[in-house]
Amino acid sequence: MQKFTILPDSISKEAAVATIHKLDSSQPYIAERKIYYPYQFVSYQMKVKALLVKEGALGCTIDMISGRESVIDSKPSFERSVLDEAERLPAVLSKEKAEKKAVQFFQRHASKKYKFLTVPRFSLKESQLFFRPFWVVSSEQNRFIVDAVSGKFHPL
Amino acid sequence: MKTDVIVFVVYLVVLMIIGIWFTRKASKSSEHYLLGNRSIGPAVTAMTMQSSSMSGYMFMGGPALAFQHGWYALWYAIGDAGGAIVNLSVLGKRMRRLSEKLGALSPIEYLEKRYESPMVRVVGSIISIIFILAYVFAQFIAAGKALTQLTGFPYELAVVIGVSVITIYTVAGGYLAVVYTDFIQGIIMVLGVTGIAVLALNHIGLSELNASLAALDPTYLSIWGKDLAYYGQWGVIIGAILIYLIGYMGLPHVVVRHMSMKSTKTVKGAIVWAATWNQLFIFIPYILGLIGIVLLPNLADPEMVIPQLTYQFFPGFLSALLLSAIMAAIMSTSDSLLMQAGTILSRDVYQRFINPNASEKKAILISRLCILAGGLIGIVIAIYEPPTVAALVIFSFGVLGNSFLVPYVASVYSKKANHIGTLCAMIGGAATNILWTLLNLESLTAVHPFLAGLIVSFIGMVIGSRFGKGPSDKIKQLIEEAKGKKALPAKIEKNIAHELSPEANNISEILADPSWSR
Repeated sequence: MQKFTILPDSISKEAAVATIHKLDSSQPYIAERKIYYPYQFVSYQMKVKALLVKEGALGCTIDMISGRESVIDSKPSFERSVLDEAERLPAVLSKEKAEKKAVQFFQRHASKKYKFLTVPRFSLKESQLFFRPFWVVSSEQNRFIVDAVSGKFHPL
Repeated sequence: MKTDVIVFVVYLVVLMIIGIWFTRKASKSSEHYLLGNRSIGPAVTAMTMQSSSMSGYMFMGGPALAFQHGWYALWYAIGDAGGAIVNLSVLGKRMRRLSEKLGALSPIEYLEKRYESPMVRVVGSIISIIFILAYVFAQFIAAGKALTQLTGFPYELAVVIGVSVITIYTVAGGYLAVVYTDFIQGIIMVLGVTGIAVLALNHIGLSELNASLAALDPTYLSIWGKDLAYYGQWGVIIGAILIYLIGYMGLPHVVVRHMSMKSTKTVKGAIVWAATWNQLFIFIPYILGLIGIVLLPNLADPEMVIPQLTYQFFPGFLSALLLSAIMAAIMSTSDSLLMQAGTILSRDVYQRFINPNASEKKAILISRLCILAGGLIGIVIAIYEPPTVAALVIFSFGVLGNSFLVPYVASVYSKKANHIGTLCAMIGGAATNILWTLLNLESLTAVHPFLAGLIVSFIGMVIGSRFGKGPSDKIKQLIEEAKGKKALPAKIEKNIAHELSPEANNISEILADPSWSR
């Protein structure tokens, strides 16, 4: 069995069910399964020559299926764990594509703030594939994913 | 005049210091500075959006319309007062849901994904870039005029200086553009213009104003415009109301707010604030234009009503401060509009279609060259063939509205609307407005260019959608889902984390795939 980098979950199966049940007590909910969703954590060192030279590290996560970028304030703490193939979604994007998307993402934000005559320079610091756990919670009528890290949910 | 220049320079320096101070205070690291603003609440967002996006028009265009046409100009204000509410209720929620489901980040990318055609993106991008630049030209002209008033320099020299200052302001960069300085400018402008209105109305009340207008020319009071120029021309009146009432739904940079804000509550809050702000503020510049007819009978340039009234009612220092705020707001509007045009060009056109493997450096170089070219053309137009700020804003607003309104509305309400229909609607709408304006067909037909463009765009969508491939089953399904029929209990609906929408869509698809489900 292969080991993967994952985000440790802080929401148990029971807590995930309780999150939904608390808002809809009209029907019984169960946690069907746990699914691990692929992301790439990418961090760059950025240098900008603006009025004063600015330097700093920027980090984001790239959704490895739909390519959406999200800013993160600090590097998540990961752990290594064995994942079964049946509980992990396959990544669609390549590592290189994800890193390129991250630079473009930072560039867009940088150009908005630093204006068009300064070009920030980016050098790759860290790039790592990781998986985020989601609970699939369902009743006879409804089905949800519950983020096993934050407890946020969305209907399927 | 010398004192005014000093006030202006000091104002800019103070603004810069405030910008640097807030930046340093708010963030010790670049990432907070770059990616900040996430904690900005709806009130500040609304104030920033409204005050800086409309600066040139609000201070010069609107009052000039009222100065020239009398109470007729208020038709534009009436439409504008309801614009944000109409925009939210017709398009807001459905478009937010659909853009989430499509995973679209920019308004042009949204159109490409909804209509399943890269061509839609190309045409949409080109129209956006050209008419966003036209907006910038209006700001350049406004900057030139405001600076003429401040410094006493000839207009041509003032334009060159104004645009140069804008460039320096832009290069000096991010510090000045932080939202807090925009917010401060917004406050100064609102207080300033409200102050002028209070003093002016104290000087001449509304009844007295109407009596004076009637004495000068009774047709100033007519709903048909001075000299009854638009008598019986409902096509012009309806167009004047509709342009700002529904036109916002066709502005990519306004529509994007529905899509990109992180919290739906912020979107709603911001729009409620913006709508309230509009009720309070949108009529004042027009009323000042009317007051200008009585108090400034010899005014040569109608767009100078507010700057002139400022000098009339405020002592030298305060008037210089107010004009500096106007000028600074015009500058920050210009540089963000220039940035917008540059981003669309580099991201939606160059990197997407011309050179997908281009390095970021090259893409930025291309966008800079485009911005520079746009700026230079802007200077030439502002100096040699300056249209009025109002004419340019109404024209570019109208063309953008005519190009995109029907495609955006149809994208969430019609399962038949396809890419051919959208291309016909965009090109037909834009071309009609341009021709109608350039050939002055309004006076021949008694129909406002915006109304004409809207009708052609609508017809283009209906007829065009009969040709070519219809929307795929997936898109039809998403449109149905975007209607937002509440299948879930209200408490659950309220707490859904919309940012998980892409993950939910992908997990749904994979769980439904029999080859994966084990």
